[in-house]
Amino acid sequence: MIKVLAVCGNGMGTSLVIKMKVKQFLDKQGINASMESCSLGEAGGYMNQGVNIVLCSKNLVSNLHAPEGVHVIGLVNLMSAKEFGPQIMNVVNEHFPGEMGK
Amino acid sequence: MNLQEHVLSRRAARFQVDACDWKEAVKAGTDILVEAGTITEKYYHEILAGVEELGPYFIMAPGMAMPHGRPEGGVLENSFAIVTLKEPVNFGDPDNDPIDILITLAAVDAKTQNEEAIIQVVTLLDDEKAMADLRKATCIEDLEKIFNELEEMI
Repeated sequence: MIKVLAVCGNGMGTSLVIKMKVKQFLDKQGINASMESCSLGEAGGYMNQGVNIVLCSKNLVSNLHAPEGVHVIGLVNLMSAKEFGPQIMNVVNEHFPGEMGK
Repeated sequence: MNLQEHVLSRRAARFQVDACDWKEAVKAGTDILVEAGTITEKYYHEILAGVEELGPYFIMAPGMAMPHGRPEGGVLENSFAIVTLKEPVNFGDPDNDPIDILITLAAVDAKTQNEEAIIQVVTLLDDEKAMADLRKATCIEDLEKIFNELEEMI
């Protein structure tokens, strides 16, 4: 199972929106994944517990300090599956082909 | 918590608001909630401080923002306010500016009760017809109609 994390400044709103949209997408694609959301301050803890993909606003990417092996996707339009969809699929195809929907 | 109920029962919406910059646009939303008694004046300053630190972190998509701060920043009750602007303003997010629809969110925590309403926010912002209608709306009855049409689709 792929662990996906949505991150925003304070974990109250923006990351929840990303989480909703991305979860819809992952379910539709039949990708075996779990989805969490949190604030920037909490992100380090989550990432150290084996998160595979992190999504956040493009503006926050440089604040994230993701450890090696965590795939970070920075977004402009946080609600656009057209934007995040292909990026997620690239990471999944390349690194987690076993989690693809059958 | 339900977006539609919250906004309609408190009449927490202003349409075609005149705002000369993004701060006035944010204030239009927080003013509604201060009047409704669900946040304190502090929340507006909390949001401004957040932007100072992180940039305009609550821009959702082209034209759309969801201003919000942390619960300890003056939130008394879960609530929402909807603001549309007569003229869009820039928030300093070149990819998504200018913004003319704001859904102000005040939440006492980030847990499940909040998530239900977030789904509704996303559903609303995601619907092109609803957004076009919201940009034209001038009164709470227009908004009620938009919500009703959305609900029929879900």
